Amino acid sequence: MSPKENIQDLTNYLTSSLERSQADYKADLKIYPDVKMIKIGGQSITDRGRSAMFPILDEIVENKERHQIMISSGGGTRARHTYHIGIDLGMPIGVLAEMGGSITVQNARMIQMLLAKHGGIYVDTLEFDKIPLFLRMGCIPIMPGMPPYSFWEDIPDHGSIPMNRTDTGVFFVGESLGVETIYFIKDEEGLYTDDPKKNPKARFIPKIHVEELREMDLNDLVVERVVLDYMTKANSVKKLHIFNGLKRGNITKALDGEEVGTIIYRD
Amino acid sequence: MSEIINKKKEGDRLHLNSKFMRESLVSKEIAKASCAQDEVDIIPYLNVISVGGSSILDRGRSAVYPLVEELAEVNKSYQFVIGVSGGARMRHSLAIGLDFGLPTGGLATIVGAIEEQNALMMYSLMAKHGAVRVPKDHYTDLPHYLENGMIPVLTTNPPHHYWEKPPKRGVLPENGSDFGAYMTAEVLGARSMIFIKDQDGLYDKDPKKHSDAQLIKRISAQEILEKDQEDLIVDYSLIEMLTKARHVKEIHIINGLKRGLLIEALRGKNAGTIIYKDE
Repeated sequence: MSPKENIQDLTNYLTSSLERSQADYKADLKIYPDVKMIKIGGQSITDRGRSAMFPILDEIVENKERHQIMISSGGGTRARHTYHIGIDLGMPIGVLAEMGGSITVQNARMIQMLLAKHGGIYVDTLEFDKIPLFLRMGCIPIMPGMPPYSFWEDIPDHGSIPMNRTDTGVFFVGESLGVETIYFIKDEEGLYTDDPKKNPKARFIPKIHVEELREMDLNDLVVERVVLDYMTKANSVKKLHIFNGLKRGNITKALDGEEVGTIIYRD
Repeated sequence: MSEIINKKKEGDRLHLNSKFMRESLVSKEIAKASCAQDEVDIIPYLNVISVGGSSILDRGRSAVYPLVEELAEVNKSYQFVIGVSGGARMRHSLAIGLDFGLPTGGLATIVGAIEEQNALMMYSLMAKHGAVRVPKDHYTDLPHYLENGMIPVLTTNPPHHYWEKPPKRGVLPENGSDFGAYMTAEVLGARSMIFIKDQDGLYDKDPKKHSDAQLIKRISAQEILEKDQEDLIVDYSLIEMLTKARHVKEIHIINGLKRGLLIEALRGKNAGTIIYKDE
């Protein structure tokens, strides 16, 4: 059966979950692949205020003539407080996810205000299709990091903290646009075998295959666990590049393809 | 609790005290320790009714008109919201989109429009019985409508859009209207979730293709996943989510071409198939 040639066949074809697995279509359309997707950490960067944020934004602006840059925001300490109070009050997962999103909207709006004079423009999730326009006009689109799952957020295996948060959000913006690398600006050098702020024996990992990292099943990770799962099934995103944005020069190096920090890759 | 922690020096983080302060929310221990004790049922008297797109709507007047009358009748005794799934035009959109090579998120972004069309038609047919279209941003108004005997018509397709997760196989979005309807019921803590289709319930294989297909009256979600059944009448992702349910721990599937089953299902009786969470 060639479903491409026959819509009725495809209709039947799509109804069966087993046959669905045989779909040999390639999602080979890259919508806007040349954009550099950067996530600015919430707890790691935004919550530090001016002393951390201003130099990072300066460095991003310095790079904007050579690269088309887009920024996604994180949550941070207020998101954590939201989950704490929300969980204590018995809020369902979907309500927690919706509330977590509000904090990333705040952070994205603040970044927009700081970058407005350099072309920073706030882009709501519903304005996704305008991203190419903004980039071509030389703007820096800034999106809230939380994915729009809201009430439809997956029920986690354990606990009540939504599994899909801002790393997931930036990952799918990049994946849908067709980019190969997602950049994560953090306050650590990259990925360690444990949280280096708590465990001094934590070992630094400069480069690792996503499958190897999943097999290691670390207790703590520098990106959301689900992102590793999504990456193994992704069409476009091949690399997560995590580095310390507090060190001046790292952003420029990373955007130019230099391997500072940690790279999580797939084949 | 809840106080702002002053920075020790410039460059430190400005923390807000909470159980998760300074924590990476990725840590397994944090995740396990974070479970809400008793999640609140937001609208516990709510029933969520999903009307099939290809199974009911696409059959046109002969299937839809009698169902509309039945829904208006049961609204005298039960409060419910209606969702309508996409159907044939949605599948056609997917076929064209697949051929263009759209990414999964792109496909998920286009399919919702068909459900919007169907919801608008369902609203138009039922407005005289108190139907009202309620977009996601207005879900907080639902009690207002329900308490006044109205029938909110929702768009149940999840708003994942470009953020749709990659499917296990292929590129087609896995999280469709059935998943969306179920998640709506789950997050609102509804009393029931009823899927109206054009067959008596879940069969062990597609009854439209196999004359010896057997109706399954009652089965657990876990059992369905273990059997890896090839034909499912609802989204696979819904069955997966049902195994983790915290509020709505069973779903009903009934035949919308037969009268009298809906009120039975609303009364809690098994009028077709019940798929439940095995605890």
